Amino acid sequence: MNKTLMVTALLAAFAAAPMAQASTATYNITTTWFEPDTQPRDSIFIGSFTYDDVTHSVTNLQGSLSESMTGNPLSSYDYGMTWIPLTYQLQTWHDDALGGTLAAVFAKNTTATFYGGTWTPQDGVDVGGIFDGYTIKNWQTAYDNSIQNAYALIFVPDSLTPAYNLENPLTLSWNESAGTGSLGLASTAYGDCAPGGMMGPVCMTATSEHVYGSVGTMSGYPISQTIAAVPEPESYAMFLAGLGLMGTIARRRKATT
Amino acid sequence: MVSAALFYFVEQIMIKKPSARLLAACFAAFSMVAVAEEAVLDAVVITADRPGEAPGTAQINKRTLSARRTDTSDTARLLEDMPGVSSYGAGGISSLPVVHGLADDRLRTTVDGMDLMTACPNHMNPALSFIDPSKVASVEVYAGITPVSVGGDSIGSTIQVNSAPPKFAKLDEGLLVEGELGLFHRSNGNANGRNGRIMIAGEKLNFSYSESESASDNYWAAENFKKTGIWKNRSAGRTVAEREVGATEYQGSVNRELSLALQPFRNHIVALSVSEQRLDYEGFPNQRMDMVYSASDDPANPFQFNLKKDRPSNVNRLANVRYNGQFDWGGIEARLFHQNLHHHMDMLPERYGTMILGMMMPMMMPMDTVATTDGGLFKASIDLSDSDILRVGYDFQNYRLDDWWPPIDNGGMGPNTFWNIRDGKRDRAYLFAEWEAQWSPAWMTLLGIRGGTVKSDTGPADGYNASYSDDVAFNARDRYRKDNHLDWTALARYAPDATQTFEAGVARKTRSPNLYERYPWSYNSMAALMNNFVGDGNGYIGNPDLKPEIAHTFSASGDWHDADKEKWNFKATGYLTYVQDFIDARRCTNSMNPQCTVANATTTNSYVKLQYVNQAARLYGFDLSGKVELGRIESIGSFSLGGMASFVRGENRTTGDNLYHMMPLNLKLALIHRLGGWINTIEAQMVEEKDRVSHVRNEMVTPDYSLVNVRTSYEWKHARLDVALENVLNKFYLLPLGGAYVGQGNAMTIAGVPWGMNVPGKARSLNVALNLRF
Repeated sequence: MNKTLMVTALLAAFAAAPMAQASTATYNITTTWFEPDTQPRDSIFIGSFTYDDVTHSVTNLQGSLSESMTGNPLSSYDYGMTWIPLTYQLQTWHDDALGGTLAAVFAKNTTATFYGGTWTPQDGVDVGGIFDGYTIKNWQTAYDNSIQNAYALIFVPDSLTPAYNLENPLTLSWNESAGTGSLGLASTAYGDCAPGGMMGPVCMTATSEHVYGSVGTMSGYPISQTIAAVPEPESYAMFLAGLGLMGTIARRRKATT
Repeated sequence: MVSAALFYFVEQIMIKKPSARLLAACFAAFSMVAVAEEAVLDAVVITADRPGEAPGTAQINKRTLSARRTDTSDTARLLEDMPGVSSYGAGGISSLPVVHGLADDRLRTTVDGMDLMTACPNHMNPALSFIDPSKVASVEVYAGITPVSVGGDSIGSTIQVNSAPPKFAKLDEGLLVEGELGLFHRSNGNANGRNGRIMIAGEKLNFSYSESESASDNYWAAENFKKTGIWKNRSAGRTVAEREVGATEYQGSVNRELSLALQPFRNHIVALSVSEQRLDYEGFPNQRMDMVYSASDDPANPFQFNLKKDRPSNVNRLANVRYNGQFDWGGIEARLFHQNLHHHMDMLPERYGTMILGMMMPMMMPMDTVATTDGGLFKASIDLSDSDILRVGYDFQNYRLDDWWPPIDNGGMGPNTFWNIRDGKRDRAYLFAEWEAQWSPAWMTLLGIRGGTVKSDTGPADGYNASYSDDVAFNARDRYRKDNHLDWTALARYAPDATQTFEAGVARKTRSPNLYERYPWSYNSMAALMNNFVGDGNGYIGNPDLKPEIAHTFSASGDWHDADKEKWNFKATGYLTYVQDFIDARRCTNSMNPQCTVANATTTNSYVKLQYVNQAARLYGFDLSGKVELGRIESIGSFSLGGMASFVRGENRTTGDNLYHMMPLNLKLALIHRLGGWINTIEAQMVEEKDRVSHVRNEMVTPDYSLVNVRTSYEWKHARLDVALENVLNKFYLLPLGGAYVGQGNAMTIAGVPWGMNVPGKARSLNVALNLRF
């Protein structure tokens, strides 16, 4: 009986081990860009990714980006904003100076977002947020036929481990007016050239003036980001099975005694 | 004494910080004026009240007007040589006059008798922008107590700007033909203009036509004044230099007027004039928009807005019919006028945008306004006796306004038209009666009462899309308002002898909120930023529940002078105004509307969203002015000295805050040399630091400064040449009433242009004007 209990305990322990020690795990992320002109609505990216805390690689990044000019500012919850699915992680790089990984996820299977087929936050600043495909004449038709892309660029600090979970998320903040906080978060950005993000031919963007020289086209800038590990379903199942078995055995031992 | 005062005068000019000594200099100068005994010379620039004139008035004489026209194409700035008068900065030709701390709609401003209205959420087209300075023949300001016969729907002074009255040939004089041609150039901003007028008159008929044009590039400040950052390098056109004051240019300003006057009988004149003011574009450095036309070229692409800088963005048309008749029993003045105003705004490309394919791609935001105003006056002056005059009358004004912003996309700023004010109405009607009694050669009194109503209303509002959802609550409420006004004035003048005159008066005056104070309905930041007519960079939300402002004013003045008013004079005026339900502003809080952030309530270093609100206010201050003829030296000419100083303090008695845009203590002195038709002037202006600022608006402090200007003019029988060097020492200064600098950058967002910059004044400028007459 003691052997059985020991085996069961080991099973539960092995099942739980990946959650605490694995180099790869899945995380939920919420990145918020403050939008002074569309309050109380902000531009928010909610998504998930897989992160290897040894190689610092970010994969499977996907989620949705809110369009803060849409919806009703007087309603509740998410104000009925339109959410743009972002499913194509097309750019990822590690920044040693910032101590983290930057990853960009797009609405379309291309990085072409701003005028000239560019996408980076600095490109967006440099072209005034004009959409890719803009033409001097009939830009409206050009827009209708354009890719209408959107992206979110997030920052994953090297310090991220599965120890950051729902109860203890990894939180970054940035104070744009003071220029203090996480520079990694300050480097995040979004660009929204989908219909709900347009002001004429100008896409809505958010950037930090301290990093890119200008706030976004509606004065948006990053303010916060939270990341929390997501326990994998199979790990949960094994862990719970082990725990259940231990409980059953323990109850039997108690009954026998 | 004179030389000592002059020495002090020069010292004040040269010192860097005049603040501590400014008041001392002011009194030194005026004490000099008071004791001067040398007598000889002609009148000085500012003329005070004249016996027989309506009490409480001040005029600018013709000579001053000619000199001032060399420096400005902005009619409101002509008034700055009057005690207690300054101006809010706006576009190059659209400043708003301020008298004793009250500005804009708080003053009653008439042009050729017409109560003209602005039609713009930024008040870019105020009444005085409709008359070119070259047309102005007289300016009269009722700075203290305004008689009810010239007041109404205002709590401050009344400003009357008039073009020359029609002339008629004398009996057997034949046909009278007069003409005038003028040119000017100002080096700073490369401003140019020309004007012409022709008049043909017989004994019974007068015909005249006048036309003027003016244009200017951006002017330059004496030093760099912009904050760092690439916000200012986002031009879609040419680069705006560091010292260049963005959005101060204007082009294609044209005024035309055709007048016909008939004098069927002696002392009876009927006059008809039609006029048009049009302007291609005009920048506004303290507003987030400019006056510039934009339109789609392709009906199939209605969002394809392109700037049309060569098409008029503002067209104001006027028709004015008036009758003046003199009878044995008195006189009648009757007038009807119609104003039609089309106004368009967008953003000049130098503000923000991108160069793409070698083409300018500015940020676009078209805004349109159309307004009509019909007004009229009937006034009878009845001589009750040799010493009593009764003035009775009726005046009205009916104003209609549509203000809409076309959609520019199917996204954030579309697909619907944004209706800021739809079917706006503001109608007023008044009856008044005024009794002027000359009790003795020394005593005169004036008592008046004015009663009437102001009704305002607006139709349903609408946003670009459902995201602009404040329209639901706004449309559901009753928006019609009717305000009853009851004004009265009591004024007495006492002239014990030929060398002194004293005036004192009290008045109650009422002003109803304008449509842009009551009806802008959206709490959205961008929409609120577009509704701002004070140039502080903030966003404003209307308040339909505003009550009329009621002002109680006490004013007293003393005027000491030589018996002929030729050699010297000194005038001092003090005033105190308490305003019940003064329309000030309060911060929009998160609990009022979730579109206002929590930080908006407390921030001290950013632009904010505000809502108009009734509060109590108090304003008080004084004006000093004087002149003295210093003497004449044979073959060199005569010398005179003139000066004026003004101080005003404005307090919000509800919150303890300062009122917005109070001109700090300021002093002007002018030393004038005259030899025949040659006049030389050196003038100094000293302005105290503006540190009493409106905290609710995050108004910015401006430092003190001193300026020196020199002018020379020569007048022949048929010509006049004016040359002026403004800001001789090329001093850098910030305009106390210039407002916040938002003339560059992404101005349509609340944080697109950094907070903390004031609009600076002009660097040195050489101004030349030539006028020919025949």
